[in-house]
Amino acid sequence: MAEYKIPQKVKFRKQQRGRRSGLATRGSLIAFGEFGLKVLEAAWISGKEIEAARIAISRAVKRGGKLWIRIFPDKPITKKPAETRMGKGKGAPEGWVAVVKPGRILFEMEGVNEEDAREAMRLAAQKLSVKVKFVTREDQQGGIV
Amino acid sequence: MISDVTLVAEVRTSRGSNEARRMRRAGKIPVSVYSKGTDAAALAVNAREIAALLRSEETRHAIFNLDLAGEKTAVMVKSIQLHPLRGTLIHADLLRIDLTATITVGVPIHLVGEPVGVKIGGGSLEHGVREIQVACLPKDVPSHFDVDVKGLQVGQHLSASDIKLPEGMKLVGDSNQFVAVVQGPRTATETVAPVAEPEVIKRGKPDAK
Repeated sequence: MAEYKIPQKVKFRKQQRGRRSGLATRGSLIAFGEFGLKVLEAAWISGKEIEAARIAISRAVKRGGKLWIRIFPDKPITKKPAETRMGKGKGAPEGWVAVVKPGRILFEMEGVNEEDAREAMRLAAQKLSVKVKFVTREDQQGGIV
Repeated sequence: MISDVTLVAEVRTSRGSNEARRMRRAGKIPVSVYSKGTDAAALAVNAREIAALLRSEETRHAIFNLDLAGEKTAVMVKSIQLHPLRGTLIHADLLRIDLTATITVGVPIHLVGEPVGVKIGGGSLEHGVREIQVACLPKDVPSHFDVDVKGLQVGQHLSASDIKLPEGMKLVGDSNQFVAVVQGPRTATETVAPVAEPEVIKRGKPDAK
């Protein structure tokens, strides 16, 4: 499976793992489309997952509709080779992930009806390693207590 | 639009996130009420009442009354804050309104009909801005604008200036901002995944020792 986009330039080849506590304070509202897919747990979403989900959505809606991908895999992940003793430095870069926190919108869609959007997002969700939920622009008008 | 809804508010005596959390648990929502030239007030309103107001599109942008110890003030919702995960209302900003002065408000746009370019041309209809800013008297603020997009062909668009505003209402901001556009059908090449490029590592300047 192909990677989604990767950064064109990076300052350092490898990164430390970091923390992912708390909720998404940015990117938690539908900003462009009508429907969205919201993540319910903190996770690293790999470029391969993003690409697989993107293809699933594109195939589900065939033509028509517009898709926005609101995350970008900008964190390099390293892995040590199999059967290697510990030490001797950090492993080699193996892929890229996007760090997401609960509440983050992953994908947005427009130009399709809700039924088709739900189905496309359901298929996309099957390609992801995180719990997600389908949200609409109407859900974020403040009417939920 | 002026609504006859009245929300009963109470003054918040204590502040802070902990107190706000306790308040929400008790079924109230912290709100800030302010206007130009007057002091801001920290109040609380019933969560269900304000959510009901926001749930209906007719009243979402309406001017309503805020009853604070018997004294009624005309206000409208300026902005809201939602819980990132649950989507529940956690805070609202209310703007005091002078009913005799012109105000600038955002009015949502509804696209009506299926464009020719979608029905026959196979394109897709895309929103541009979802609301436009208009200046008018508070009593004249509409709940939304209906914009007919039936006549749009593939590649055609509607701008904010194409919306017919009622008399006495003025468009604020860029009149060229597009409201709706019919994009042509996607070609097969657009769905092909981008090729993963090798990363380019930006190295710092070597130390000048």
